[in-house]
Amino acid sequence: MTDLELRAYLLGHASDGSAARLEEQLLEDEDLFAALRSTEDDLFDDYVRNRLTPAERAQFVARYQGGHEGGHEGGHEGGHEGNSRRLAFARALAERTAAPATASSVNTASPSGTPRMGRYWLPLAMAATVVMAVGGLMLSRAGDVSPDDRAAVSPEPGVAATTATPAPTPAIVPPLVATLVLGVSRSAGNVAVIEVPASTPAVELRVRLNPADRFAQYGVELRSPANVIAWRGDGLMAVTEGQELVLVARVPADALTTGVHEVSVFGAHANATPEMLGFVTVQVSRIP
Amino acid sequence: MVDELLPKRGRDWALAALDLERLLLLLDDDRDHAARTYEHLRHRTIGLLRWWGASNGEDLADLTLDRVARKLSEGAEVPRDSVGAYVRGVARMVFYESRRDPHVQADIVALTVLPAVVDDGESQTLASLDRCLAALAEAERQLVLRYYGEGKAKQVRSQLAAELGVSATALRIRAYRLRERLERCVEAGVEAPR
Repeated sequence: MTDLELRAYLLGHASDGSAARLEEQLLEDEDLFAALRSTEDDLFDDYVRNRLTPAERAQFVARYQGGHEGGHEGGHEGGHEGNSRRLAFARALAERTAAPATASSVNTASPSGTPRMGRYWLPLAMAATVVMAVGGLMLSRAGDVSPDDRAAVSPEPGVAATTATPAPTPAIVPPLVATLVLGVSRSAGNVAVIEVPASTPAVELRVRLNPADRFAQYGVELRSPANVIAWRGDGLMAVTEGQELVLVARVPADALTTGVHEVSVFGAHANATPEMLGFVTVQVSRIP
Repeated sequence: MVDELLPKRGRDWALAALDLERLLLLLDDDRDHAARTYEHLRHRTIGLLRWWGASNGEDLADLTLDRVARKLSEGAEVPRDSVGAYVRGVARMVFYESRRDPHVQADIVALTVLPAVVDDGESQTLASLDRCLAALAEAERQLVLRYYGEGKAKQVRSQLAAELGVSATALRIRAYRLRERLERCVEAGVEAPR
């Protein structure tokens, strides 16, 4: 049994016949069982290190993060909780084993100015027009917007009016809002720049979607400069704002470090394989 | 050792014991060896059920083996080299039946709603991993870090196998066992951080 065959089984590619044969064998063969588990570990590693093709990635998400419908196409270790633990472990292992040179090179822009990305992301990068508009910073510390904050992003019109009256104590600090647009043209994307002050608790990513991309649920994944998943939001719903379809994801500021991040967006209908809708490259600067 | 298997069964103890004896006899002529084989078979059946999507793999594996044992008592003839196929067939039925259980259905529906990654947990996991790695012997730690490290896995692992003088398969199983240990250690550390 080759690695590819085991991988095909785990991703649900195997025919019913070959899946049944494999399952019969692995019930009798401890080494084969261990090999399958080992291949599954590699799959988790490849997922968090962005080494899966877009198709494999979508299949992995479908198999291991919900939406499965039984049959041999399952793939759960102790249910969803178990898979979350395995993903967390794979992320930690990726962080710990990341070669320093590799990690730092992610931050290096290519000669064309496009940040370096995983090999499978480049076509998507070309396909995604990133019409980036970093929206208003709603640091409504009762009007106490620091010069640094203003330099980071321009305030939203509706919020600016509230900044006239200072208040003695800081109120709840709202999130910084960044509006990102996934495009469908073939032109090269821009890099969105977000400056995140230390006081910001979260960054609200407002992703404008192609109105044709209507799905029951959406997922957003944020990859860190070290090319591991720093944050992920699933089961998100898009809202219609005028003519626009907008997906809102609130990312804890702690998940953002200085460097180039990738934001990818998936859409999924119930019990269907998630579809990748595109991604945006974001240059984050943390302001002390 | 065989008796240790019995309390897991929910049916009448005496009847279950007779059924179990038949299953053990099918697995191996040596009774103690058969008991170990049974435990391994149970472990793999749990894994299979989980791959299919069962969140209660342990319960369903027990049900499966219970049913296999009963079938044997009822006269089912299963050649020793077809145990895997037979157990898989029964496990399949048990799995499908469990899907019709409304409690299990609710659990499956819940699986489709994905929680966001909790970043506090991530740093906790990393800290726990560091502690667990530090607890490994140096050679084991190096093996894990290299086997699961960056670079082209095939080349790195071939080189590692050559250095250790073991086959690729042996290395893979060794790495897999180490990873299992690490995952258990990390999980324990995250649940009860030091």
